[in-house]
Amino acid sequence: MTEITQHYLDQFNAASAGLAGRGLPWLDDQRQAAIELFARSGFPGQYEEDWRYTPLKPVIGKLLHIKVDNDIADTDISDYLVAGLDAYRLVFVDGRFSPQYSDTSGLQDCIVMNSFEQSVARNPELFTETMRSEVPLSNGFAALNVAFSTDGYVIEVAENVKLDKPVEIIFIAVNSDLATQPRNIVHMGKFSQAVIIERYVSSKQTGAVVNSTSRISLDEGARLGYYLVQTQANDASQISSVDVNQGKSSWFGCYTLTLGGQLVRNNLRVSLQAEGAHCDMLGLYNTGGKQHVDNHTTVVHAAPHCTSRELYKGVLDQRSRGVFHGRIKVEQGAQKTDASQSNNNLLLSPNAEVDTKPQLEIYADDVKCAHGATIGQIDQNSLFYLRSRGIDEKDARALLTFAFLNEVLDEIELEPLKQSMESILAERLIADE
Amino acid sequence: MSNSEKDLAPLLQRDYTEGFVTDIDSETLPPGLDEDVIRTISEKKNEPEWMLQWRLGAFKRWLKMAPPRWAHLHHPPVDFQDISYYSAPKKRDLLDSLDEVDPKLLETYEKLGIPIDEQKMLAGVKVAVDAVFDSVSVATTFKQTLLDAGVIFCPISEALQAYPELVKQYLGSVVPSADNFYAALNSAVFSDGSFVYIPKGVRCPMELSTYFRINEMNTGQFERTLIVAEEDSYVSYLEGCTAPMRDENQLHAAVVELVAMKGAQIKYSTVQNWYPGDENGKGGIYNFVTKRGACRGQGAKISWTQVETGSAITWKYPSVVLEGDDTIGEFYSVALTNNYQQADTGTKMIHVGKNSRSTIISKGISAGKGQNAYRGLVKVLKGAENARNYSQCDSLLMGDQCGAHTFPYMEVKNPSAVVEHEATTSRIGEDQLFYCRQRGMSEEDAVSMIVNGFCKEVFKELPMEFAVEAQKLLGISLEGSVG
Repeated sequence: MTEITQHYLDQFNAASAGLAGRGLPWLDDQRQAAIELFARSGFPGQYEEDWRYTPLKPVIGKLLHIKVDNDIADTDISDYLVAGLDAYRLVFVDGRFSPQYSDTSGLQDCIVMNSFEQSVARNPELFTETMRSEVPLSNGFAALNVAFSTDGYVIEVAENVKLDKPVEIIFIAVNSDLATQPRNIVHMGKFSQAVIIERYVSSKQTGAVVNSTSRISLDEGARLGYYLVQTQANDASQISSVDVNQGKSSWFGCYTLTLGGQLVRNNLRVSLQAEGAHCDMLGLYNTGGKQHVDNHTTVVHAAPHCTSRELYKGVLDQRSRGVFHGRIKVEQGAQKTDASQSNNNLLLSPNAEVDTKPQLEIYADDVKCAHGATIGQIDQNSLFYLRSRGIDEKDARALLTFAFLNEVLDEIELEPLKQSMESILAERLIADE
Repeated sequence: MSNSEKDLAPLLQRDYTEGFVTDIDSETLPPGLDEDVIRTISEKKNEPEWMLQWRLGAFKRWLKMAPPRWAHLHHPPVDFQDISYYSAPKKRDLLDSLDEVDPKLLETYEKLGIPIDEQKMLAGVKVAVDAVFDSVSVATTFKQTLLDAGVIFCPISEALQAYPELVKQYLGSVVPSADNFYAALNSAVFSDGSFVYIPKGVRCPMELSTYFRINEMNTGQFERTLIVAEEDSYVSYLEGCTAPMRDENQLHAAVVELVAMKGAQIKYSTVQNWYPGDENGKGGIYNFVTKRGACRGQGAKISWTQVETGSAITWKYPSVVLEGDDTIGEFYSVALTNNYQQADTGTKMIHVGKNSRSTIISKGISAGKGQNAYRGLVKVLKGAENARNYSQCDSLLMGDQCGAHTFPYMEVKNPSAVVEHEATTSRIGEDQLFYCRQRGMSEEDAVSMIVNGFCKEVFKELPMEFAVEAQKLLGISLEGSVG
């Protein structure tokens, strides 16, 4: 056991009595199992196949400063809002639920939306069997999150309920060098519908680290649009683990939009567990400076007649590095699977780097699976075309880069979010030169 | 599943016609591996001192290494002390002509259809053959004709005697002695293999070929092949392999090194048909091979073509390091797994030089309970301006018990590089079959035709005679396996 692992074990022993929901047997068990797993596995290292392109040392070092702090810092949240977005809102400042900034007025009774901490403290009966069930912990980070998590959001949408407005959750990092571990749980009842926007932002230069997990389950016929929007400052880091279980004929649309962060690693795992489930996974990353964005996705086709579609597009500038790992796993018996996966990258600078691993693992024969990956630069002919029509090179490049990303942007159904992304990108691309 | 699958199931069970054993007196070292075994092998080959030291160095490094576990393969651990590292048919001194080769050996190769009798060569089709039987080379044909052209083609043990400087210069220069676990093992105990040297400006007058045969029980075969093509030369080299049917697993851990200088071209083709084990997955060869080529000078070209139908387990990644500017690397592969066979194979293309180009075409076919994985790396280093890669990996699945996997890696550090990867997985379409059946073809002919069409891009890269053999091999292996 390394010194670091020991440090966390000591911390767990010291802090466990004060952690949210102490005394709830299912939660205590989860935390215990998680810390034991962490004691065994520790943090992943670059010698591990799934982490080989991502240096974790800086993040692990910073994670050491886990602070349990009850003061909610004052902040002006208007800086972090998306213009024109009308949504129910939960706001977390430095990892703690902040009721004064949140707005859930007008929410139907059949929808429960609260912070994890308050829920486990006040009405633990809220957690259904599905929400309580064992969390699959894919790595040391997720284990640490479950062991130490204090807050996060919990959403339960009852059967046949359709949310009238999207739900926006904002995690704001304000204080410097703070590590937070939000734990989020979503359960969509049969034939329910919702849109969730999970946003991570930070005020400039906090060096904050977020180690988040989101556990999402969809019952039969449920539909969930899920946006993970990362626009934190360029010195913040995040490790996120999103784990999704889909029931019969459900739809899950996942949009991972990463524009900020120094080191961002997104683990996304979707399991299609009953017939007719479909998922769309879209990703967009645009990086500069020394940013490092690593998207690690897995789709498991565990039942027949499921479909999945995945498209990740990235533009990398300056000394930034983009990593993509996509795996489609088709289990035995998952016949009539239709899965596609594609990762396209544009390299704008001689010092940028892309490492991509699109993978197929197939154990059934009557399936249609295709994947593709490309790494390239702006097409010289297109550039010439634009220049010959009087557009200067800088604008032409920005235009073409924007067009490249637009394939993903176009799929964003929330108009205000789309516009906000477009304006951030437009500003960056013009300034890049 | 259609009824036709059941009817045709027996056709999937093909016989392994090369599975006989040659009864011949041989000299075999007892199983086990330590420094003494290495010293004995080196002594038997009358090797220079530096060679022995090189082997011992590799052995020391090997002791500290662990077998790779990252591949998508499952097999019980290999007991490296249970293998005999040297086995040779008992024979007299160096052979001057084929007349002195043990008739039993000639018979063996005749049975396998390998022409080691120069007179029996087909008119017009000239192939020089080096026949390797267990640990040693037993015959090499057309040596003299080749020497007249300046081409050296001989067993590597002989090259160590006759051209030690050449061997010393290049051996281990592409695959270092401790490159990986199996390469280190091979470097320590390799017994024979072929050495080819093509001087500047020479186009090798005929195809060169090595035929590998494992015969003895409990032995491993560790051959080492080294091909050096000097400036502006050309050579096409073929490799074939078979082994008897046995219940135990045998190990084959070879190393192949290719060096192509400025403007040189090496074309390396393999038809690998080691014993794949029976339909219950018992026996078969573990084929753990390291193959790598280096394009050292400007405009050099290395092309790997492989048809992998045999072996219980295949672990093999023929690679090209594109060091020079304007160099070309190619990889064409058909890998077939049936019954319980497993394959984890692919390639590595390392782009170092400017304008270097590489093409990867990989076709995987899985039937029965076979598991077939493509694993490949395309790496573009910072200085590789305008590097270009195109990869295509297609898998064909036959039956619902098999698996097909694709694990490509792409690492690009240069913005002017263009790297593309495409992969699809499918089975033979009912409509394709229907179309053929409707025109009066039997189901098995239709399948065979569709599979051959699937592999055509690779087969067309093989030399003529090999292409025919490969098609036949695939045909027998797959008749009737319609999913």
